[in-house]
Amino acid sequence: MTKVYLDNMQVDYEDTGKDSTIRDLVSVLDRELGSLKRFILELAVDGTDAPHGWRSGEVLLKRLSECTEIRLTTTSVDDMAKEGLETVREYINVIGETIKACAKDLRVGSASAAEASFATVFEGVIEVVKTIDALSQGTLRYNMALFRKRPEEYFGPIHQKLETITKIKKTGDTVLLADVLEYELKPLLEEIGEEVFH
Amino acid sequence: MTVFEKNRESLVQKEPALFEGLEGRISVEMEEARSGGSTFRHKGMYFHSRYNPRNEAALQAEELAGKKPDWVFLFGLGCGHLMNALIEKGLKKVIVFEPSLEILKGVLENIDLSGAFSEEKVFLTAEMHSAIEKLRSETEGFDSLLVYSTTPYKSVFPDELADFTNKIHNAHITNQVGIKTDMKSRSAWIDNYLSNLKSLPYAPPIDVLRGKFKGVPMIIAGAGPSLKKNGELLKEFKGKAIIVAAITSYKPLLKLGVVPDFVIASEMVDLPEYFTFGEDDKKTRLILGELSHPGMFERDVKGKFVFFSPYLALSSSQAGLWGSSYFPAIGGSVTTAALDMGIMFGCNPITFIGQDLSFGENETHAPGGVYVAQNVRIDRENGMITVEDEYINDKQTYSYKLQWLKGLSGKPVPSKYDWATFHQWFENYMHYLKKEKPEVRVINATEGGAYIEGMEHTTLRRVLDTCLNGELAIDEAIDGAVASRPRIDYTALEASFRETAAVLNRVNRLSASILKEAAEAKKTYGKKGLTADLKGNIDRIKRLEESIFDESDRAKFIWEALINNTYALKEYLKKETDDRAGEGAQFLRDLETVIASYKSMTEACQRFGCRFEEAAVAIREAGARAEKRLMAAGL
Repeated sequence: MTKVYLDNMQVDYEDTGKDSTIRDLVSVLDRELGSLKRFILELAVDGTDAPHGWRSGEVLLKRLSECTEIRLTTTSVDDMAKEGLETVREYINVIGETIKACAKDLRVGSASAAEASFATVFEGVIEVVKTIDALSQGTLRYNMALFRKRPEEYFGPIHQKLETITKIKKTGDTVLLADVLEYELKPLLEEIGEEVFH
Repeated sequence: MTVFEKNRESLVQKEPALFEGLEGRISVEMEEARSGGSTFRHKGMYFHSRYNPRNEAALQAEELAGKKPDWVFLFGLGCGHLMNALIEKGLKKVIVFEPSLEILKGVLENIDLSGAFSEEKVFLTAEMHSAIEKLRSETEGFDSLLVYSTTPYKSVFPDELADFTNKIHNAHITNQVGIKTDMKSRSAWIDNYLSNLKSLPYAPPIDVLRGKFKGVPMIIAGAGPSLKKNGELLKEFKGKAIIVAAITSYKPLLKLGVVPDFVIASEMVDLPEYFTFGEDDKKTRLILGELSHPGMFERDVKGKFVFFSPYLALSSSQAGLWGSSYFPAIGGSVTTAALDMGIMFGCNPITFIGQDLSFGENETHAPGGVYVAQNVRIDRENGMITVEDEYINDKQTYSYKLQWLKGLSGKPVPSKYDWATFHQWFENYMHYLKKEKPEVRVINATEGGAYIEGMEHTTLRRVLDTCLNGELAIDEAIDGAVASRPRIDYTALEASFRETAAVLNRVNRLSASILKEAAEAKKTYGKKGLTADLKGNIDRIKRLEESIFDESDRAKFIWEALINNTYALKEYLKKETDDRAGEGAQFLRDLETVIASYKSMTEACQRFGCRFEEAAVAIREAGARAEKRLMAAGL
């Protein structure tokens, strides 16, 4: 029988049909922990830590009956949200610096360097939006006051900006691309950093 | 005064032609950037930031300044932001080429760039050949040049940029080659000229033929691989056109059954292998540079003419005394000089054959000449070309940096630096010829190799069918012109040599005094270090140098004789001083340089002083002989 530990304390979980998966276990525990404003952060199966992003990984499909021991570690939703916010803030700063470098490379004609930093900027902005969105969902669910202003208001303008950037990139107008990156996208991200977060 | 007028005022002296093509042009529309300054959109692209174009230019200038170029060749003026930023960064030697008249007009009408254009070494042009000419006249082979273009110009004008970069590169190589040629040849040229003094009374200046062949077709034959394709047709031109052969094409033409009217040569070395030493030689005339090897003047031919080049102060200053007032424009090869001579003769049209200026399938020259066998290998990856050839009996292998020229078919053809140089010279020459003598037709009937902008391109057959007007009395015209050659001023020539010899003696004494002062200064430095005691020596050296400069104004040739030293000094001055070495070490280095320079100067003065005395005697004797001949002829 599989032993299940939550924050190092063994818990009972009845796998009646012998066909439950780790996902089933996590769902049940998530529901129970929700009222306590806690959240499962880490998972270890038979002594092996699941990789980052395990919630969307294959490990959840594994049947409990095939496992000997499952350890789950929780964190408070508040702590996690704060950490998430801090990461987003830092990431916005990093993207800002990368935009500056990318715009400079575009302006001085260092095409390959500009191309590399452009990819980082583009993916980075999408990641930031996804993370803010997840945090925003969390604030609703757990009734937290994480943001000063609703971040969703910025999703539209950011999306629009990314669309504009994609279009300009196709035209090959590097001057305009550098302008939009440096003087439009970067200030928008800075505004999010200043206006949205506490 | 409008902005356009201000810009024009600051540019019109430097580039008068710039404004010729602007009338009636549409101007690009300017937009105001958010932080001030202008930008514009052309062919769907912004050329400067809409937010802060000055900052953008500052970034670009910073990047360029890091490369420490002596000259920046800017492809694209834009709104002038980068040009201004470069000047602010201290890069004040800038040649700007603007490929679009639409942009140029819009910018000159709306943005006051007169401050930048007033800088002594900032130039703007809208013509490629003018940019190249500026490179030739303003820069040196020693200089580091940087060709730069912003991304919008790269995107909108890719072909023009490639052409510009290639031409700048080729012209810079020409400058570098010019230095090498100078260093290698100048001393030999002086020696050759002095040795040729005995032959020049028997070789009339080529300008005796000025205007003697008005409207007569001329064919100039180079020895390019394509000569084999159509050279045989030349037989049909014989007697109906003047045929001038570059010396390398003389034997190949003989093989094709054609004896040219003239063979032109200017090599500083003797080239007996290019002659037959038989009857054919006696049917042709030589056109020789005054600096050619003396052996060339000894060939047994039907006649010899001389042309004076503007390259050597000594001979060019004496050309008038030999009865010549003509200095052909020369682009490094004798066919370039032949073109200028053809125009001086009054010939029209002038047709080139064998002027490939590029490598053939597996050959560098047409068959039948001095090259027995050839093997050409092109290494595109490393940009090199290797030529193995058998020259008479010697096997030789050469490697050259590969250069590309636009071919007749539009595709690039492989070339090397000297051919690329000649090619550039032809295109530049044609540009001016079209303006100054539009009635003269110059045809490239080479049927292979490089395309030469400005020339008509057709086949030799077509020239044969359309340009000949029947038999000509070529020999009679030449003989008549020779008979009326201007008299040689032997008295003035002798005086010129004596005066130069006297200057050389005085410069020699002054140089010796400098060496003495420098030796004393070195000794004092060794004993006491860098002290005020050295001031006396240094002041005296400076005064002596001033006297040398005054003297050498009367004998400019001295600087040509010392060309290697001049270049060595330039290199020395260009080197960055090593501050860590300290003032004393730098002083000693400067002193050693002074000593080396003036040692060379005394050697040159002594060597040429003697030769000039001998030359004066030889001229007096030649003059006496000429007088006797005239008396005998009853003149």
